[in-house]
Amino acid sequence: MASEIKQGTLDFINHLPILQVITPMLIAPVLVVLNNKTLSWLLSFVGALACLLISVLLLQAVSDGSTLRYYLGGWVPPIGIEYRIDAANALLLFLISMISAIVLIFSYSSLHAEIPEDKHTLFYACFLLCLTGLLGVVATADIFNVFVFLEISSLSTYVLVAQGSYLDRRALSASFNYLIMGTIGATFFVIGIGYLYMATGSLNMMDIAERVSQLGQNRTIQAGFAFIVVGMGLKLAMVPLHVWLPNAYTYAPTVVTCFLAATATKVALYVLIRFVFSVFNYEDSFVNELFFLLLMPLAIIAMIAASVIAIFKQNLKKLLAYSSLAQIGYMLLGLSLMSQKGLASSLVHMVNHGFTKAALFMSLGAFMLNTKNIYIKSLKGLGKSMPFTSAAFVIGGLSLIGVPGTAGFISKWLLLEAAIEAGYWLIAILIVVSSLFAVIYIWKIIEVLYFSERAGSYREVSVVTLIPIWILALFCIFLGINTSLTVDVANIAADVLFN
Amino acid sequence: MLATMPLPFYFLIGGLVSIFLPKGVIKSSFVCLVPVIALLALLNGNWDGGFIVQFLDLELNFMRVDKLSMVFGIIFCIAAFLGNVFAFHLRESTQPFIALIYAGAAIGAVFAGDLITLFVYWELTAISSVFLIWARKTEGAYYSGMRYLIIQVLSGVVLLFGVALFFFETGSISFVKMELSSLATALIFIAFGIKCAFPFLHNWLQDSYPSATITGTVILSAFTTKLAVYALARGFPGTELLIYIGAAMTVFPIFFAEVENDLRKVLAYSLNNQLGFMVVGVGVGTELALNGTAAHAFSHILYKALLFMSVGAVLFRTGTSRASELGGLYRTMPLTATFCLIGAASISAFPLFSGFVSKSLIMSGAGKEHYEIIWLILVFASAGVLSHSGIKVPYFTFFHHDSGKRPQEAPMHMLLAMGLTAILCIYIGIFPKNLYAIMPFQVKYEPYTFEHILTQLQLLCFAILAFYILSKLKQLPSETRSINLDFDWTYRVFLPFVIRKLLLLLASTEQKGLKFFNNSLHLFLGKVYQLSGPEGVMTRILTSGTMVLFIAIILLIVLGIILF
Amino acid sequence: MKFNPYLFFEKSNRLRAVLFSFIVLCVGLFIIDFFVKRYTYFEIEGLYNFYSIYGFVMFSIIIFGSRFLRFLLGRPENFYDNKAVDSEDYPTTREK
Repeated sequence: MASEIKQGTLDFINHLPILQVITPMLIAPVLVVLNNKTLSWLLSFVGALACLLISVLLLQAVSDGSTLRYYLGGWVPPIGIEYRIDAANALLLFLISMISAIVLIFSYSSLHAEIPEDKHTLFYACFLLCLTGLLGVVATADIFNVFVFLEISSLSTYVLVAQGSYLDRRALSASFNYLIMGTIGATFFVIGIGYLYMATGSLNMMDIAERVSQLGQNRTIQAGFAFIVVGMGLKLAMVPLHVWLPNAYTYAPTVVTCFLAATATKVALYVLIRFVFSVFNYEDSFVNELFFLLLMPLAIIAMIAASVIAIFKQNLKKLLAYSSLAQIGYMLLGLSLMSQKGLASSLVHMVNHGFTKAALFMSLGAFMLNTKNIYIKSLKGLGKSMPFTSAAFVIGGLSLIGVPGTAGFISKWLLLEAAIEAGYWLIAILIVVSSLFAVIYIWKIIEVLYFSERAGSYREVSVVTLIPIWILALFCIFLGINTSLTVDVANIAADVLFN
Repeated sequence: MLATMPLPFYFLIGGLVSIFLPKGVIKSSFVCLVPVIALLALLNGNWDGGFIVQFLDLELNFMRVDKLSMVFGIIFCIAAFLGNVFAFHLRESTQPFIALIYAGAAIGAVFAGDLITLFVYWELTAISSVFLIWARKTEGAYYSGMRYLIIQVLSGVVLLFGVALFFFETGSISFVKMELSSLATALIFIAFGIKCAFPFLHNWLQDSYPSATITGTVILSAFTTKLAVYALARGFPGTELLIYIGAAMTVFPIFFAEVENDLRKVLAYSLNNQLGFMVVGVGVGTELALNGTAAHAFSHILYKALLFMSVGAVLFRTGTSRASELGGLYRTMPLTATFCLIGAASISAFPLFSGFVSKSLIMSGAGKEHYEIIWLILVFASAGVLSHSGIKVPYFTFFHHDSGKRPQEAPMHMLLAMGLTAILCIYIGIFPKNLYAIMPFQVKYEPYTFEHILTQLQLLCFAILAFYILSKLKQLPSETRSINLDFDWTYRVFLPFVIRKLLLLLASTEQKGLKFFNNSLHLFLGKVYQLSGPEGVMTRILTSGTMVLFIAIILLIVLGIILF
Repeated sequence: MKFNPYLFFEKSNRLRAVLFSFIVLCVGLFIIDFFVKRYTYFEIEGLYNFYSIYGFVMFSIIIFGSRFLRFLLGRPENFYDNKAVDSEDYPTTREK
């Protein structure tokens, strides 16, 4: 199998998979030791940039459909741990590193408004650990390693969410709720892994896949699958296992919300995808039945119900959180169509929605810097006094709705195509209906921004704050026009996963 | 490079540039200049290959230029120019910007070679144009604009549905002639119909045009509906259904226009009536009739803009466009009165004016195909046009009894815009050959025959005679400050009423149901767990403990599905 | 004051002269139809003075029909209350 490893001109490229993961992990303790606010921001940012660079290199290396394999410590799997990069996770790695870099720019100017200065170092350390966890989950091909990284990211996330308590004490209960839920999810996940190990005696994904196909019908494996789906369902906030999400997003600091909304749930969904396609056999009837009978209806319920709930929310962070639930519904729907097109649409939507939601949450964060709260009323007339932030918000909103020319349109179009290809007319109509709900709740905000009398006199936020917001907003447009980054790679990824 | 840029981009880029120009003469001149440059680029460019863009796995064509789209492209550029000249006095950023974006969107839709591009521009016309209504900045205008926006966006959504279906049925997205035989094409047809103000889908027009600003209405009147006519002519020529729809459109607005008090609303109804002629032309679908539709759209945009301009100038000077408040303005606004009369003569199709040479193409198109009833209806509608646009608008504004108002003559730039438009109306009327030369098909029609002139004069003169006699007998509908219900009553009064009732009903049942559910849930939960969390209704019910219960249930379901 | 051609007709006998010539024109158009052989698409079109009579009758129908319409559907100006522009004045100050 060694021939599959890409023999690049640089030896360096072979080590990229592990560098991707350990770069932030190594920087995190350094921050704590240095204990300097500015320096820790700088180091984190440099680390995130390095991650971004690595992920771009990786994406380039695998965008032709090949696979990069890395054996940790030279131990050959199934004994050793393997890191395995193909188009699917390279895309996710890119999304995570990109968002983390942009979010860190934003945190430079906004974090002091939410967290006391002496906590910044620890905050950044935690942030980097969370980043490590998310990257690790995506990069590894060892299922126990997935669990370990998942826990790293989750534990640091609980801490990060709790940081919101300096502004609103409810962040603590939100974080606690999330902790309980997340832990149960992780436990279920590890039980599932246990079952798999019991039945196959292996932890390497490829290896398990081979043995699973040899075993045939096996109750142990099926039970393992059930636990993994529920565990990941929790982590990805599948309705009705979503209750932790709205509060966690609402009360966490904006920086954290941005980062989590854009990446965390997507990573959990990625794990589910990876297990369905690379560990289990997606053609098995029990997998198909589960998706058809349970996940697809749940996805549709999420799509409609969460959008409707979002319409009535006055707290804008909560509104966007519910809209996130609906968007997760889209992704889950794409996956549960169990077709190549559906899977590709799901992957594309992960990336597009990641940028879109980050743009929205970040511009909300910028509003918040001025208004100090996030109720819809407080945005009155800000379209005039904060034109650039508002314009970025509008772009993000358009992308969320799925207006042509924005990223959201691409993924919704692909999803529509996939649904219709599979013959689900009703679902196609429901997708559009849910988009109409999105029009309503986005319009509600735009109306307040632009068509209300000014409530207070605010000034536009600083350029440093605007830069990351506009990077994201421009990404929303760029990804809507140039689809080679998302659609082409996603198609290759879907191809890889299906074969 | 410049010449190969798709035409709408001139407007979109121009619009963006205009934001940054200083308000005043510079900005106003710039927005007048943009359509001129675009028109030159259109006429001098080489568009044989179109402008192909690859998007996903679809091939989009931004510039499908053939004779049909050319006609509409040219007139849209001219209309944008005239409208912007008329709006020269504006000292603000929104309207000049929107006028360019809106015109660009309409032109983009006209040159769209595929349905996706069409959809994008279709929605852009809707979203941009609504700001011309909101620019009036009154509460009434806000609601009116909202209704307009909802209906227009709805048209786009229906179109998108139709296009998606069409794509999955045929695998093609090119915008060519379609058969009205499947759900897909029916949806597309309805989307066109909404924008084209088909009967019962028409009220957005009469609702919004009088609500826009003075200059906004002039711009609005040119694009949206004619874009729809173009789309119908492109997609559904020869669809017989259109003949009957068009005939209905020519008739019913006449009566509404006759008793409407707001003159801009009169003109909006009259616009609807004129669209009917074009739709009939599309429905007949012969070369002659399609030429008629294109020619009529061309001349119609001009004289309708002229009428809206003259009423707009009056509104600008007097602050009202209500027939009941106006009259006798010829004393101080003679030039505006003259331009209004030219517009009125054009729309009534007097010989030597533009309506005469274009409407007759459609009439003979219908006549040649032996649609006798339709033809009679069209002749009736021609008399109707005279009644409201030809007589009512100029007569009650500038003549009739003296209102006592002595406003100034319209400002220079408005006179200039009206003058240019009036000259074009007369020019087309006198030299129809030049208009016929750019028609989609070769025109073999000669409007100026003795009998055509005679019959037209007979029709018009005797209609005027009837007007004279009836006015002497005091039988004309009086000008009173009132409105008339139209189909929009259903969604402005009736539907909200029904929905409110339903919601009340729902709310009361929901209250009861929720109470019951809450009570039983609390009983149940209180027994199983000892939980508390004083944090609002949602979180009170869904604490971590409940969540765990959820998880267990889901796990059971999953296991059940997988294992059994 | 600039030249205003409409003022020329303010004296009532001049206006009357215009009206008189208009009626003469109508009579002329009515009579001339007798001498002209028109090409027609339909039989009804060829009837004697079809256009004159049709125009006159139809115009009357429009007037009476619209009065009936107002009788049925006419409402006071503020029927739609504040959600319509019908009853509000044009905000002139903003444009001047």
